[in-house]
Amino acid sequence: MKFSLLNPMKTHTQLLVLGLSLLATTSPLVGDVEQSVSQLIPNLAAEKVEDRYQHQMELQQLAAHASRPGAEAERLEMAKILAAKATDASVPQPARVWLVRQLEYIGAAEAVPALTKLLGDKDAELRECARRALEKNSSPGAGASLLAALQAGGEPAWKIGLINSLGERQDAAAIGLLKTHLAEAATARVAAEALAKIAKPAAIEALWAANPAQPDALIEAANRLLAQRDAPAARAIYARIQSGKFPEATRAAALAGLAKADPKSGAKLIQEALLGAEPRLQNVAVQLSAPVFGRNLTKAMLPLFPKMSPSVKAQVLGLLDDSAEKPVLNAAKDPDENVRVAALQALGRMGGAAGVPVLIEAAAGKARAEKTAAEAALVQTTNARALAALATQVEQGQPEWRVAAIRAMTARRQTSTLPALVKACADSNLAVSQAALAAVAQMGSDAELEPLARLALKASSKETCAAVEDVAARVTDKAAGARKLLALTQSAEKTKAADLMGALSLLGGSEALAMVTANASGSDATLKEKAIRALGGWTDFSASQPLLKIVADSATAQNLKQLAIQGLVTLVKTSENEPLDSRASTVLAAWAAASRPDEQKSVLSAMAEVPHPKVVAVLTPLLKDEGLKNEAATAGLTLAQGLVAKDVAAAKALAQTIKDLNVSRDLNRKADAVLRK
Amino acid sequence: MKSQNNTSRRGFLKCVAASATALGIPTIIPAVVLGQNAPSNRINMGLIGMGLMMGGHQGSMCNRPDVQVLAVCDVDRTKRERAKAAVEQAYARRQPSGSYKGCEAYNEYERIIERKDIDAVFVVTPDHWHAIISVAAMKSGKDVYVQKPMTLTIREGRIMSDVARQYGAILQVGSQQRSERAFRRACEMVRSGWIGKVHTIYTELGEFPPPATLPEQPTPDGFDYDRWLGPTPWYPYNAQRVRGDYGGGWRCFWEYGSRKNGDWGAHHFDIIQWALGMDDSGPVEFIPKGYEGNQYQTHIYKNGIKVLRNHPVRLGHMIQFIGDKGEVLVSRGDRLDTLPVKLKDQAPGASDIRLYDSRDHHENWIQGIKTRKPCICPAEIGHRTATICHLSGIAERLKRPLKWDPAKEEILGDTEASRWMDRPRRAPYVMV
Repeated sequence: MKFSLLNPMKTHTQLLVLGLSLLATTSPLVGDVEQSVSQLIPNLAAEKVEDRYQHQMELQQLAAHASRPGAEAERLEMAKILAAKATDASVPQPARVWLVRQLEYIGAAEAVPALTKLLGDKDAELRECARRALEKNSSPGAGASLLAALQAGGEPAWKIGLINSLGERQDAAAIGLLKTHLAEAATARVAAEALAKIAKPAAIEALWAANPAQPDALIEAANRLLAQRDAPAARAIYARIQSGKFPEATRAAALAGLAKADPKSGAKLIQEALLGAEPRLQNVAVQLSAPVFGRNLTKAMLPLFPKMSPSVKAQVLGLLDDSAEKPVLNAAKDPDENVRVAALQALGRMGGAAGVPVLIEAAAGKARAEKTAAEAALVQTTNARALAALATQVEQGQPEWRVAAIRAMTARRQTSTLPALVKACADSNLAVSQAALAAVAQMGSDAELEPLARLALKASSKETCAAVEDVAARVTDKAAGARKLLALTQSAEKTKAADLMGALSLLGGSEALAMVTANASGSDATLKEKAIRALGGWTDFSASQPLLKIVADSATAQNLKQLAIQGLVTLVKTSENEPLDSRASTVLAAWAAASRPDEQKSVLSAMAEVPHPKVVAVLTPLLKDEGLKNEAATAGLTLAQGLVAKDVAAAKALAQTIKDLNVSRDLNRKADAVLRK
Repeated sequence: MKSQNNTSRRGFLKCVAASATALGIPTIIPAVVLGQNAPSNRINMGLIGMGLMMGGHQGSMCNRPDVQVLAVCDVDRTKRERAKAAVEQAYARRQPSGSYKGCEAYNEYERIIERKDIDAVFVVTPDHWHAIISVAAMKSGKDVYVQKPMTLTIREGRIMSDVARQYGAILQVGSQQRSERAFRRACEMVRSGWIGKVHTIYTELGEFPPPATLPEQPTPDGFDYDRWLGPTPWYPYNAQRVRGDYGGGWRCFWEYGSRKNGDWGAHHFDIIQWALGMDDSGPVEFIPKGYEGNQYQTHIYKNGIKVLRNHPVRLGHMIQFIGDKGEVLVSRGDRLDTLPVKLKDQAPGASDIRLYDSRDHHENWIQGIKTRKPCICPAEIGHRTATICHLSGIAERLKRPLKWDPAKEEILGDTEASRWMDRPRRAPYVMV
């Protein structure tokens, strides 16, 4: 037995399944199987209905296991036992029902006599279970039993069930009897469907003669014939329905069938349907066009295109190949919006250079649906000539079009356009320069840093400086990048050079740090502020030293001191890989310098991230400070969680202290979690 | 939508006039008088199955100017009457008179199928009714939005997909995660190779309480229980069986679905199929939890990719794709994470795969009806996803692995397991 989790099976069932797997042919174990099934029977009919489920599952598993591949002997024996018990009138009804339900899955010829008997049982539920099981039974005898039951008649619902089962079994012997049920209102539809599934000439003849007509059943019959490779017979049915007075949906189905059965005549009908006025037929015709016309699709569609309705045009545009570029360009100016949108999408797919100006114009326009379609199309195109045309558009033409082209290049992540985009950043047209700046900010890297920084020094705009910082963050050779910027700053006006300090902070390095530190300790308040901000966002922990000096200097203005403390907090929080001692001494120095409550609370949040005994020692007394109690407790608990791996006793002591304070339910819960470690 | 098509497609004025006379509903003013969202340009809708899941659909449809809900249907009289009142109230608020009467309430879905003035239906019943109603609707020329999982059995799915294609119906399966940005982006990243060669996928489906045998209770007045059971085997009425909440009720029973495989699996397996480019195919092997010590229910694709159900997923996500160069993790609420982290903010490049971009599942279906273009989740996709749900459920119940041929849609080498691919239907609720 390969299955290792047998819940909710009981032990005796487990053993039985094991026994079954060892069973070769009839053996003493058969008696065990019968005994186990017999033992389950009272439980399948337990007075407390809720108790039955577990035993139902036990029986189901026994049956499933017996029917596994390569164990025919076990299946046969199990099915015989189930059949015998199911027809035993002394077995309670709920158990018999469940026994027959298993025969639905594992019964074959051996179960037919029992199931046939049950078809005539006085209990309706048992009869229905037997019908289901016979429907699934592969033995020809099962069909004969169902047929006999139908012959015997009964309530309409019972007959519907039997008819449906005979249809599912595709039982040709049932055709004669099924025909008679075509005339009864209650059974006509199901009888027609059953005859359709049988799909023999006599069944089809009966369907054509049915009153009321059963065109959907005939479609089903034709589908079956086609699947059996009887294309001529299928084609005859489809053609008759397609040209008859039947509902549009049914004729559409016939058209689909016809196209499959006879592509040649289907092609003509597809063309007619495309120019017709019935949308369901048109829809199916469009769907069929590709498989029917194949490589000749565009050639077949183009002569019809001008005569098509807008909705068909919109659909057909999605199918045309590159050779249809000219009509598609015309369609992009169609009075119907759906056609225009479909044409733009087609141009994107085709990817020709001639489509680029059209797409650019639409992308730059105000019509939302067309704009969206054109933008997506410009991203989609892969044709080299189209890309070249798009690149040209970045540099030339109306500003709105250039903006659209720049946005398309950005969306495509077309880095080959970056030199042109950098140039466009300095364009006299504001919309163009802003679009280009956004593009370079998103795609630029090492090569764009210097030219963009030059522009920043010249323009001194916030957007340009922000773009330089975005690019600096992406630069791979940070040291080289920093050197380039420093070289630029040396020849630049001091205040403008200061605008690059943010970018320098992202590149790092000792020379950059020296330059920024010099500004931070200078006399110009504006430069000082920019420098301190840059130090706070520095790429590594090296900026902590100049910041500590600033906070320790009593001459530092309060606002700058606050900024420096905030910078230290950021550095401590983002430098997890720095030695713990170093981070601890930094955060404690910041704490010592923090005098205002907002500064202190900010530093406390950084202390939480530094699980060091010295930090614990400073923080613990603060838990009693009414003004800082909440923040200290929150920070302390994070600290305790961080300490668990290093010093569980200290962690627990801190957690207990915080729990004793009873600050909040949430903190108490977290403290408990630490205390459970 | 152009009037040429609409008028022709529905024969609107003629049909409405006929049905208005027959049903006693108000005659609607012609389109030419009222413009784009005038009645003759609207899609006339029938809602079938007015339970928990229909709430959002009903609200959305009643709020659309291009849709008119003409009928509701439920086997529970209270639910259908309440729904009818809600629909009429929604429309009444827009009428100068403050009143509106024009929504019929039916016990039998066949009454909706018969109405030629109804263009499309929502099928939001329990799973065992999906295929019968959808097939009837499509054959009558209606378009269909059907809840996930699309079917109760594998064979039903093949039939639904073939009927949709042959009858030219626009069918949308309610696997609405396909219309969420994060899922689409996740699939694009996987398809574009951003995390290298994918080898393992984890997904969290949760568990339902076990099914149960239940004692008989009196059937409530106004509840057509026989019709609720429909094609499934007869069981005595019990309120727990027919309850439609998320935590249990009918969703727990194998008779009416594939339990969690059909519930959350229909969403997450669907996204996995999309991400792997397997929308017209599927896995080749299904291994139940517990088989030879297998810790997690697993299905395996031909290229070796394994999908493990209920394996813990990092960061509490719903699906985790693991490749040899990274990971993509995705959940509802537009949650998307990646390894490397920067991937999630990276824009797709020119050579990256872009998938069908739908931002709103309802809107996508309505546009499909108007333009006759396929929706983001048509019947074939719904069928392929539901097949995974069903085969996982069959393997679970048989407690043995199954080999599957997704091209032929056959269980290989296991005749008895193949019998589980469809279920006999209780008369008179057969599929025609």
